[in-house]
Amino acid sequence: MAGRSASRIRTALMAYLVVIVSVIFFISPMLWIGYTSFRTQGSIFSGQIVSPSKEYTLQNYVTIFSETDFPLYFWNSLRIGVVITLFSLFVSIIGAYSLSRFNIRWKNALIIGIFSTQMFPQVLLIIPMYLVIVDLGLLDRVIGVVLGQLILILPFQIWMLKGYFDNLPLDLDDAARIDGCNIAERLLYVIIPIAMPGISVAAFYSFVVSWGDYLIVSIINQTSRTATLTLVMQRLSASLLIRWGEVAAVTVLTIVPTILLFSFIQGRLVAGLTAGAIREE
Amino acid sequence: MRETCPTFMKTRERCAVGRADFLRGQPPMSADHTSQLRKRLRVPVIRESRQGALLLLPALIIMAVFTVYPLLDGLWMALTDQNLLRKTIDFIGLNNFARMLSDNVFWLSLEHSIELTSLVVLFQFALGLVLAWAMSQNLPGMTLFKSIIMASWVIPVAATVTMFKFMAQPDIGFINIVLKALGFSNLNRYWLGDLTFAFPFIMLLHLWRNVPFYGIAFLAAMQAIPKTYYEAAEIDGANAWARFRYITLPGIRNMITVMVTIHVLWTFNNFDFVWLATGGGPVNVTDVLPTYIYRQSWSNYDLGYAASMGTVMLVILMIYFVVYMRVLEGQARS
Amino acid sequence: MNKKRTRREFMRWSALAIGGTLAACAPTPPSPTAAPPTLPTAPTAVPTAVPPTVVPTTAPPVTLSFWNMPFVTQEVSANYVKQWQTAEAQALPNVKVDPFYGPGDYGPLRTKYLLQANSGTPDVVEGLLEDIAVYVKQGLVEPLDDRFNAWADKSQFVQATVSPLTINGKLYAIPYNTNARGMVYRKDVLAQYGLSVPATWDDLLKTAQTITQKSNKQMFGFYVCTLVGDPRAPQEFISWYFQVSGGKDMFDTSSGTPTLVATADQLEQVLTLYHDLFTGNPSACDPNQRGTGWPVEDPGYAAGKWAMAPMGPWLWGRRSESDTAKDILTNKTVITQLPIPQGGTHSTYLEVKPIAMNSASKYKDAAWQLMEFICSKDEMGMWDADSGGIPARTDSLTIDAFKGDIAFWVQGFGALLSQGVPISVVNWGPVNTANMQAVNYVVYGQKSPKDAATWLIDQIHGMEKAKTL
Repeated sequence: MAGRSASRIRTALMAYLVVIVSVIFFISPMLWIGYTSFRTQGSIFSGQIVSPSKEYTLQNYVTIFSETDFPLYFWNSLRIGVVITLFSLFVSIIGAYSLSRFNIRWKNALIIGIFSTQMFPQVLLIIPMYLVIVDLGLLDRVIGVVLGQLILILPFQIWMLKGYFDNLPLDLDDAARIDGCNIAERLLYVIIPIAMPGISVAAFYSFVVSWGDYLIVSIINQTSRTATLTLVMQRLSASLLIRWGEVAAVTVLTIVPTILLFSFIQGRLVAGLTAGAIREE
Repeated sequence: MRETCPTFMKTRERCAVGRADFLRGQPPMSADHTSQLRKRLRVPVIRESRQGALLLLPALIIMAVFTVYPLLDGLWMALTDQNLLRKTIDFIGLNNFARMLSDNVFWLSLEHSIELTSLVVLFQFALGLVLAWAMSQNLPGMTLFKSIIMASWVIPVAATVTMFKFMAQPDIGFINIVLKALGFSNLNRYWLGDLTFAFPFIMLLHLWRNVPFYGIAFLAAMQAIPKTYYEAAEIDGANAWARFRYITLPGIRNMITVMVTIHVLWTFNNFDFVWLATGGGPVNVTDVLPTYIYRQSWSNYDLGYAASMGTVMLVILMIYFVVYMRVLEGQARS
Repeated sequence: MNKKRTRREFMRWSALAIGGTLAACAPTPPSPTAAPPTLPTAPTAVPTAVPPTVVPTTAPPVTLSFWNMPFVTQEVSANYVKQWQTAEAQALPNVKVDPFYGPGDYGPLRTKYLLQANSGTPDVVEGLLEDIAVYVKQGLVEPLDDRFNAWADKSQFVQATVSPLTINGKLYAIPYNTNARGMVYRKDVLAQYGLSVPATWDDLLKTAQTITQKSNKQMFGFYVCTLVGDPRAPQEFISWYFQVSGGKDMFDTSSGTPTLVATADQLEQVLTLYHDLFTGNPSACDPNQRGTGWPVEDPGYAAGKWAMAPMGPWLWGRRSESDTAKDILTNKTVITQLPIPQGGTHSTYLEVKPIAMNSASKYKDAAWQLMEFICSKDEMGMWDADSGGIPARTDSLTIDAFKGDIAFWVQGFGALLSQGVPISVVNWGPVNTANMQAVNYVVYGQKSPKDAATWLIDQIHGMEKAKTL
């Protein structure tokens, strides 16, 4: 018995060690950049971790808001993120539902096909895709950016949602069907309300991917109409390379929305993302 | 006779029943059951099936237009000498591929790509397991830890790179400050500009972003393994390591497959991390295929050549995919 | 009852979705819509007759886009940009300018322009002399002879700045800024260590190393840009090359297609300089700064991290960064010419920064109005005074902004203009990449200067063969 509790203490200690190292490793960079955003140029360059209290300031944020069109870019990123979330959810939900519930010819081939588009190298696709977008007349338009970013989101999203729908028992559908609901009504009233946890994770995923995308936006953007935060952050940090305080402030402002969303979703994030991969024995 | 669709309230009630069943652990029905049900109800099959297939159409159309067509176009470009500055496009067959064979930087980038992908996925897997194991312990504070650990995955890659670039700065970067405090001030350097350390640093970036994802995913899969297995093994005298090796690992095998596959694809294709952090330098030590391709397209304007290297990337991944699937099938059969 | 309800719900949701999507897609400020073309195909015939008169300002309002580097990278102060925007709105009330000034540094700006110019956006583009050469070859910029000749201010422009922009007999851009590459040094630091101003490459190495040593590596003696893809780095490289070659360009373009005339020995000499700058303990340049470019060079000098650096007048704009910067730039800096090698000549890179018009622009008349505004006496003067450039118009030098502190600065750099050599019309992008790759091989010790020079010559010969020059 004494051996048992000794080994349990040892296990607990090792687990806590892992936790502590993980917190230091994964969380501290974000804390550090947040901390830096409140320091003056002088205090950053002093190389000290703590500086005299007068060297802490909000000036970096003030500069960012007054000297750059930050609110415009934030709004653009937000707008593109919301549009692409709605759009991709619509396409993915009906697509995943169809793959999950119906015996379509070549279903397996289609599933593998959809999943394997993740194999396609972005850098190879980027110029032909640009030409398609130009031919559609969607250069420098929000819809152009949305359609371009969809290829990053759809495969994983459909796969995720399909896995989630697969875990919902078919009698739900059938019960609804017996009552005379057609497909649309079934989706709208039965499946979607129950699948809300998974769907919210899918929405989160598409927003986050769109928020962080650089390559696609940089190709399609031309004017302030579609300039997003990542684009501007890249542009700023190349030129303000030494003004780390301001770079830190922009980074913080780019991170905060995703962290906020994450805090709302994190309870269900795991279940949603991994639904397709856990088969109950 | 077709009844009218029930009111929303009634539907929700019915859903609640199904949901309660579901949560009680009743196994989901198979598709065969559905067809039996359909026969019983004598609901026409064909109409539903076609409607169902229609639901998939938007996704397929979008993918066809924005992924498949560009890919085919890209493969075609690989056989031409298309150049951003030249008006004429000539078909040159496999010349680009021949040129690739004698291109040192191409082989270097290929080597780095493969090295990076395999090392990164390996470490992510191992560290993810460790993390999952720690999180599976029922200890105070674990819930809080579980809720914050995935934060590194959600933030934009550009932000991650900026953070780490700053931390790697000589003299003022966090890493160097800490080293100095520990007495190692002779190690002070710009870590991303160092010939030896730039590549490991890039690996570090990948690990920082993805290990928590692995950890959480493995944890979820671990929790789906019935406790009875563990109890039985303990009674039989298996120690912790044996329990881990013979119960946990096989139990989460499905999740391992998924995570490894996805991350091999993502890491091999990943462009942002390397490009934003080092641009492929210094002197090509962190150059991977995506960054080299990007440079060929945008600095040398050589689109045909870039496309041919992109084709090679695709072929490598396809080979990996096929081989991996075969291996899995073989495992599943045994 | 229920069927109707369902349908109504459905309609409501779809309306919301569609409405939301439409709202999101509604264009905000009216921007020039793009006609969908493909990648540049056959060169369109160069337009001939262009109406010389400017459209009266009663024309309907248009929004133009103007891509330039300084507004976006803080080469001019944010205050100046605001003031420029206000002045533009007043001077040209019918011409609005989109506040997103492009992708940033010259590299991304050039490649994006090459890819997207035929969509009509941007209407007006700023760049480097090297960029214009490529744009002209691709037919992406509009000839401006008729418009320029009809402009009353034409005579104010310094001819030496207009000539490099005249390619194949046609004027393709208006200059707004010019300078010749020189060197800045800290007179206080040289005095402190009893050193004299270096006149040769050997002097430079010795002086710089002494400074590094005596300041205990707190301040390095010199700095050069070595980042592949940086716009400044190849300009410094070509300055050293001009010194070695006696003011001759790397290429001979008299026959129409560029031919490489630089020899392996000449390139080896330049690469040896780069090699020597980073070797030795203490070294002239900071080894930790290998692979960096102008975003490090300029603030670094203004912060006192190196005592000397190849430089042009734009550094003046850094005064506002900090008190140290202001002090260093106003009180402690002297402008001189770059040191030369044994047997070399005082030749250096002549920079002429152009403003050009997109040949596919939909609003060429309005674009010309904007260009006249940008290059008007006051606006050009204030832009250059804020960033520290030398205006391409003589009358701009007379405005108030050029009186005071900046006078010594402009004079110092103005004196170097006679040494300036304009580069030839070549597709410099890939050449510069290769140049800087060779420099990187050398400073990272991966190739000897001799091998790197051979490698570089091979690369350029390959470009000649592939006809990408």
